[in-house]
Amino acid sequence: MDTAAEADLWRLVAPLVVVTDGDEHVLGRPDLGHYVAVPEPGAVFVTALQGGASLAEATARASRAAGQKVDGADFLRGLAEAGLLSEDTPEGSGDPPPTGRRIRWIEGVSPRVAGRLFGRVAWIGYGLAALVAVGVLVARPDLRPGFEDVWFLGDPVLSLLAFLPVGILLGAAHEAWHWLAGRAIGVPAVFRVSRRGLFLVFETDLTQLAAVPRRKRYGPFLAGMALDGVVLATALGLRVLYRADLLALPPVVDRLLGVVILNQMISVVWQWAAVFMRSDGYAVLANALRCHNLYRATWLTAKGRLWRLVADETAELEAISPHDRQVAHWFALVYIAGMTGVGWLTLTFSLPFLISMMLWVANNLGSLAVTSVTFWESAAVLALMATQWGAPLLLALRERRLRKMGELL
Amino acid sequence: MITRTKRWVWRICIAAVVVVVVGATLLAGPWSFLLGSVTGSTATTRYAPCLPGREVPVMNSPHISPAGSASVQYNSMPPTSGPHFAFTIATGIYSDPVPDGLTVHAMEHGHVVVQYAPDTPQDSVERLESLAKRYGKDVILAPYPTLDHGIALTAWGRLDLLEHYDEGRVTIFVENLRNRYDHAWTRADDCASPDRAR
Repeated sequence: MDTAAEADLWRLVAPLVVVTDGDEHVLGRPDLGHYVAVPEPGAVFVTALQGGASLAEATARASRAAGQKVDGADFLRGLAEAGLLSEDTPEGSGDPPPTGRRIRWIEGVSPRVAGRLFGRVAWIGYGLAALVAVGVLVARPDLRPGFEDVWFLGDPVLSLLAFLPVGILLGAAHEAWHWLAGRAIGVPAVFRVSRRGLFLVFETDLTQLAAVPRRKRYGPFLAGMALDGVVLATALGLRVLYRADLLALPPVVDRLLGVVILNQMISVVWQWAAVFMRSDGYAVLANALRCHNLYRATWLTAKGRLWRLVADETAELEAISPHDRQVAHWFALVYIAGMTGVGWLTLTFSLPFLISMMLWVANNLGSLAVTSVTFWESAAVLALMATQWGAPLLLALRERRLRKMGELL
Repeated sequence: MITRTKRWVWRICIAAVVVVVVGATLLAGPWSFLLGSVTGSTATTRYAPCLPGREVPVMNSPHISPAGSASVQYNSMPPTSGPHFAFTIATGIYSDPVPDGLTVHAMEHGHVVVQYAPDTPQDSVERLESLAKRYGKDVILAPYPTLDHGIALTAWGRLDLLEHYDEGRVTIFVENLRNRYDHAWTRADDCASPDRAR
């Protein structure tokens, strides 16, 4: 590092946040959404620089913390390579680069207001709702969802179209609850409307949770499922009352509640089964296991066991912390259990639904006149299904190609 | 460092797990269910004189389009098997008639379909609705304009026609015939047992 850069050190490290949680230390740039786990001397070094120490003084303090001589200049180069010393601050500091349209009105919710939804009483309520849902599903097998519930109207296309806005609303509420829980602990998380293929999706960027102690991260990670549990318990409760003749509902509303229950059940099971796709369940487990990059460590460890790693992958695995690598040795079993769960979901719900829809579409396209409404309904469903099921495959292939070309980490 | 031998041990272990999971899936039944979802059902009439209602010969039951449904000739009214749409319908109460192509598919999944004539008294309809709520996972209740009079109880290959609402008869029909068929017969009828007889 040259003299001019050394003189400017304080300005370079000033935007960094240093988070110490037990024996863990994280350096980050909330404005860029970049965080790295570092050993204690690294945190001591940066804290010293932020306090006005020179490079030599900060290096000496870090060396004392390490119990051996450390190279402060080399550590700084590492931070620069990780992008943590970048002077390019995105507009609207505090947010990672936007990848979709942000909902600005909702970003005005203050931590104090959001905190009311995630206090002790609220979490007791979420817990009770989950217990009620589990209790009803155990005690009343007739209220357990099945794939047939999707067709709550006499026309499959109408059933899909009618549930679409409800499904979007429930998905948005799940993500918004993550976001609100982040706001409740003062994290400037970002709630976005985006798209995957032709589908509208809602995303919550919780990257900045890395800047808070681990025990505070559980709320934002579990918030989406907590709301799913409340919706599930409410829908089940309404169906119990309706079937006991204690509540008058139009029959179509009762059947719509059946689809809502199916949707919420799939959502919760998915979050715990799809750990190999970085679901909410993965975030909770990785946090509980005090890991930073368990996802990649597990994939690389499994790949190394079953196949082989190329040089870049070997280097990537070695760069991951020893603790994460140690956990990854057995975490692949959790992946397998999750894959079994996703396989069960697919066989029980997705595949029968897909087969039925495809056969209906094929029969209609093969036998109806092109002037009929049902023909074009079927064509539209075919396009929708092809996008929904084909887009993830195409995206996965694209990501694999980009990763091979080194354009995607 | 993973040795070649260790790598093969891991591969064999994973392959064994996959074989066990796939084998369990085949034994547990989803495979036959999925196969049935593609092909529909073929005729396998089973006579069971002790069960409620009367036996109706089971027709070949392929999937058809709405266009194809116009030319279908069922062997009973309402139908209890035969060509049907590729998708089914959720159980519950419907205030409008449900097409035969949907009710037949629901029966193929083991559900009981209760349909009533337009002249059915309102109090009978309300009692039927109460019963449909009690058997919410099993029963589809809907009006059936083609029926001149009374109430039709249908399950796969089984039919009972009632002149008037008879709670005991409807309940016995539902209790005995729900989930009897799901792309294949699911259980023995055990007609020797006296408590199964009408």
